[in-house]
Amino acid sequence: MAVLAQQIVNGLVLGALIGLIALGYTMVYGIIQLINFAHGEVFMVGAFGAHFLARYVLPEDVRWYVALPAMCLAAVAVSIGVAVAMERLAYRPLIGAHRLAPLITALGVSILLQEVVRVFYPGATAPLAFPRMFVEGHLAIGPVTILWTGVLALAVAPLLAAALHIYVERSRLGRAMRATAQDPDTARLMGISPNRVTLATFVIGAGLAGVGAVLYGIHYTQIDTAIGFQNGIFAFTAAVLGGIGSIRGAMLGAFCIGLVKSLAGQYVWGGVQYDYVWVFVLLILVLMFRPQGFLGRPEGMRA
Amino acid sequence: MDWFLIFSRAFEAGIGSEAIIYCLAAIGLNVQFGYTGLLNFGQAAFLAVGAYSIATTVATFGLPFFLGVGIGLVLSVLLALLLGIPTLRLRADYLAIVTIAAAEIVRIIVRSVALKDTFGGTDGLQEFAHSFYALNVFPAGQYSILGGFIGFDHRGMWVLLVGWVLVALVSVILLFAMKSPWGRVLKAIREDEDAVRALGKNVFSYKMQALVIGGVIGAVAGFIFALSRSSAQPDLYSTELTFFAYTVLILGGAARILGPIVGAALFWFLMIFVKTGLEEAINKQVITFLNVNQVGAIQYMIIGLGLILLLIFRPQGIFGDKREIALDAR
Repeated sequence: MAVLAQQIVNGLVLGALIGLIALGYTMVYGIIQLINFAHGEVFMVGAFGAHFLARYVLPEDVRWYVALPAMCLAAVAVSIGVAVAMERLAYRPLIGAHRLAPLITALGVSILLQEVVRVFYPGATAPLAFPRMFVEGHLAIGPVTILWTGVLALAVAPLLAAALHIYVERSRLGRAMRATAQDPDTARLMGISPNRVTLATFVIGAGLAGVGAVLYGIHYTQIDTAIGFQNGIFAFTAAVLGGIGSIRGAMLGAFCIGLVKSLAGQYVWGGVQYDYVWVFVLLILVLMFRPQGFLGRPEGMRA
Repeated sequence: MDWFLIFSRAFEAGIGSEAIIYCLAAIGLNVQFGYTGLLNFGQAAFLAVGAYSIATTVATFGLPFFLGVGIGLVLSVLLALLLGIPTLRLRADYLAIVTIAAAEIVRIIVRSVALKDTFGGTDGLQEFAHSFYALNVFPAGQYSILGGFIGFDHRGMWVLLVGWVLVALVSVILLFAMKSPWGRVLKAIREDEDAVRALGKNVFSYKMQALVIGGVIGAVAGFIFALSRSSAQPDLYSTELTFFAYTVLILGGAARILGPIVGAALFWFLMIFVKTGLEEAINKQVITFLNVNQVGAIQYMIIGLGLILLLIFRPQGIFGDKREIALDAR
């Protein structure tokens, strides 16, 4: 029982972190029907941005309540910078091109970013230790222990998702986003600039990924250039699972993925080596029997 | 700078086994993406299935070589069905994500510790290509082409002969297939699925056929990959391979029979030209701000950038027809 409870908690923490990436996928897809494969790399460069600040800029003895917000800011700034550059240079020129062309450039951007970081970031050819300047220790509830960093992730991720949901539902920009998602041409007639909305979507998604990157780094205390690709696939699966385009769905899907990965790693044949496989099996099953996902609407999914 | 070395290495790569492997992989993608509009991001998985089918059948189980070829073809069909059944009724993007995930999973399975006895873990499998090289028509020795400018040994020559014959065979078959009514249906699906459905065609079935055929060609590329190196290693079959194959296809021109062939030759010529050139420049102290270990990553960077620029400025590639591939504005 203790093991089961512990694995559930571990899965939820992983789910919270994946959820922050999944929100970016689901929003961009909702607006321009593009799977931004390179979104995982936005998360990755965010983690390296925070690492750079902590390792090379901040003094050694800085307190965590200064360092954590500073690292979040650095990660968000780097992520947004990369995402905006990506949108401008790799996606916007392809508006009007074949619908599948941006997917291929996304793969190109993804590999380009990974290699740029690998070559030019000092020591990035091997996994890097993420600074551990934060609250050590853990919260104990009965037999279950959660690192404080995990508690932080579990608190912050749903909070940000809820804030995003309210923002999209209530604000002017949010209304513009929903209008563009529903019908870009009509939205344009109403005076909404689709380019501006798209850019705002990329920026919001990148900001969330940046925060997620810092939380990921301090929780797992190690980063490398592959974290973007791996977690990106999980996050996309989460977005599909929850119903792509839906903010609540992305979070729900991410928690499911976290649980499946963590529980399969513990109890199913093959253990941690194959936890990836079970996530994929879940994706296939959902696509076969409920392609619109848990909370998605059925229309628009069929080709 | 030894320009003779740089050019001869680059030419060898341009007609060598790398070019053949990527050419076949890209031909498979051409059937799927170029003609039918299916985005298979897991071509690496089909190559891995081909390579490991031969390797496992011969090296692990000691069964005949041609049985391995047969198993590889059957398994690649099964993999295509597995990937296609849940996704081909949905939007094109779903196939992309399922295939990219499947490719990672195939790689994780063949490199896993639990199945090390069968697939050899991260070291992969060796010692399975004897039967293939036993059929070699070239007597042992070195062969030089173009007056010693480029050269291969007898094993290399055999791989080149078999490989380019396969490329020619597959290309000719596809040339006729794509001109047939069947091929026209595939192209129509790429342009407008609903219109094809309205004409009473079973779109799902045609897409599945394209996916299976492209996957089988991918498995053939995997055979050549494993046999030319006499080794099957899991980490060679990563997403980079698929990405290179797309670069080859788009460089040459999608939806063109000659596209993948010219694309592969040119791609590998440029790849090795840049690699050998950079290494020479670093060794001869012409470039001092890089070291030799960074050359591989620089290559990837150049290719990533090149592909993005290609898609933006010349999406039809060298041979492509803009009407065929680029003007599907939505």
